[in-house]
Amino acid sequence: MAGSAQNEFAGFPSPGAQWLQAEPHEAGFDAGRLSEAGAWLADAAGEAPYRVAVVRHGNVIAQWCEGMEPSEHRHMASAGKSVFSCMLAIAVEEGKIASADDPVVDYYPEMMEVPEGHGPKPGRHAKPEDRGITFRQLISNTSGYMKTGETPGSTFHYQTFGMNVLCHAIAKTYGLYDSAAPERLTGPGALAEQKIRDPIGASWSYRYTNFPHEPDALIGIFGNYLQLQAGLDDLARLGLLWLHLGRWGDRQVVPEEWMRQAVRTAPDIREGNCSAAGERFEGEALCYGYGFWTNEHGLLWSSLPRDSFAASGAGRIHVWVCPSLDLIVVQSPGVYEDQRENDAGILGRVFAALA
Amino acid sequence: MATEIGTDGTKFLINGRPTYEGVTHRGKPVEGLLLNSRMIQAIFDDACPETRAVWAYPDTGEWDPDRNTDEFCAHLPEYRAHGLLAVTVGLQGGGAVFRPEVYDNYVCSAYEPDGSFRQPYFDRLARVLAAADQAGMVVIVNYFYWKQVGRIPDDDVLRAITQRVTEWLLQTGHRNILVDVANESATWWHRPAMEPANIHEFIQLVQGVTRDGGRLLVGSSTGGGADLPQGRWLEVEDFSMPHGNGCTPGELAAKLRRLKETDGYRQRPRPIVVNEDSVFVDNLEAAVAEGCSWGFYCQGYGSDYRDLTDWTVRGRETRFEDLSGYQTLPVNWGINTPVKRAFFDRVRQITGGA
Repeated sequence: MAGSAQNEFAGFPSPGAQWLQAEPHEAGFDAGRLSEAGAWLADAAGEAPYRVAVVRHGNVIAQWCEGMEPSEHRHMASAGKSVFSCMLAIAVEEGKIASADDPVVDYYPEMMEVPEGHGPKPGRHAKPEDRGITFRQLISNTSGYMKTGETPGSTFHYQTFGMNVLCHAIAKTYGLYDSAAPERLTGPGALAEQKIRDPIGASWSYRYTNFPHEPDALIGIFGNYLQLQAGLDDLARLGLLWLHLGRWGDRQVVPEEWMRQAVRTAPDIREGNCSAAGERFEGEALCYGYGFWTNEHGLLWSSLPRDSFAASGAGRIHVWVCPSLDLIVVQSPGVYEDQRENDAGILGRVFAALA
Repeated sequence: MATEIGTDGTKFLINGRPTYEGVTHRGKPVEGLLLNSRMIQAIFDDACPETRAVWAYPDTGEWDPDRNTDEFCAHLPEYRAHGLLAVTVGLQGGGAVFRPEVYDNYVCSAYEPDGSFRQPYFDRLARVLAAADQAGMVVIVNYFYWKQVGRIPDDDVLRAITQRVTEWLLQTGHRNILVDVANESATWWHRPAMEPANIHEFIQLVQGVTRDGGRLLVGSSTGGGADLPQGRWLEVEDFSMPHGNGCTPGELAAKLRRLKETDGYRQRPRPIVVNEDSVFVDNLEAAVAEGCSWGFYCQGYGSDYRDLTDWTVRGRETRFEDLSGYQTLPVNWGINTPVKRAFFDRVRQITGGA
């Protein structure tokens, strides 16, 4: 993705244009140490493919790719949740949704029409409390949607179906989703293109997928996961958008205030009203904002700045952003599935290469 | 087959034996419960020519009250096979469609304004009682629905109706009957005689009618939310019927616990039957965990009604086999939709179909 085309705005690559490159020392790196980081990456990856880009001050400083072309589209997996967060913010700003604290059912009542036997798996179905779920809880993974024993806002529990409902509800407010006939309309994928992809000159594609479900599962309501397929350039652009708190050039694509909140611990979790279910490590809940992972408490990467955050997904997808260092490290795929290991891995090494 | 309902403390008995005898679910006794469904329109008709067409069946283009009742009766054995033991049926129906031009005008009542009976309603009710009796099921007969009561201005007429309906029920010879005098007695009825402070008088009227030394078991249902029977109402009723509309499982459990903690209940523990709640099986579970019976309430689309389920988002289905709900007419009394299947499947899971 590196090149020498001129940018329309300093530090923001134009649509279709390649990014400006800069030498490591021009961007404040010790070139030798950064090179060592690249070598470490190659060694750690072994035979596995990897694609990693380091972006600072809007320029590509290093790009290490092996086994995959930078332009190849790869499933973003749950890193897409960070895009969904932006879509929610835009829908609120544009008045399609009055407030992120509105009950989702007011916009997407069909979320309550998933009875026993028609959910994604046995024991999962809409329950009365789900009526109280807000958009903010869905994006914070604290909704408890279709989770028995989890009332809205009471439990941090990472899940996909709540995110699907979020996307469908947002798309429905734009007239782009019909749960009864999902194939009829273009859905949230088209909305993400229109509202985010095109303004930042990215080129990701999308499709809708489903896990294996029970035969009677009402996937039109809670399934049809929006799977964004992105190249390395797309993810770097998203990283740059987020680093600038939703601004791309002179255009505020995502509301700034939302971005400030999104990359910090979500309110339900911060206020201590929330327990956690299925945590992979103690304190994981404190690491989640609105669709973003946050290092606010130093629990993800203890040696890295607290303002850093990431969009992460299965398949070793990580878009790590550090506003205080004006630094973005994109991995698609990287070396580690567990983003915390990046602390002692490529992130730690890139950080250590700063002169 | 004769089905005789009785009570023993907090348990219901059928033919002298506790219902669901020996059955437990998730470590809690199911024995003595009366799982039920609100089938309030099973004998519905409409005397208003302007609204009658609203209830037309999609396959024939006409409303037919006898078809409605006969199809309902035909499904009772299927309900029973899933473990359902009771249905609530109304002599004045229940809210069918809540659009004002319909809700304010349709006339569903087994009684003329002067209190005389509209005999076809009783003929249909007789068929329901017999079919339920045959199926081993109980009918919770509701006498009054607030909207239709407004068409009977004289309180004395309401009392006379109560007396005569009870006599009629007893003379049928069926003993599979429970009485819910007033659907959701509440101050919003704006009918003091039938509001919470006075509804006990109607309960006592029913209790005072005997035949061959026997009488009907009677109570009066409450509204949903936090509503509970109170005062003399709580003192005199044979069993309690708090509705669970609008409650989450936690709220319903708390409501039922509050009822069990009242002085009236403690002095005379009795069966508690939620006979109107929602489509949510989690509420069913919550009630069973509290040792209380629970009733499915499935309104249906095209009703302009909204509770925890928003029934306003779709119009009425256009094919008979697709008709949702058990309260918006016309009704497909089959277990034909996902939410209906979910309820009946859970009842079978809880009861083993006992």
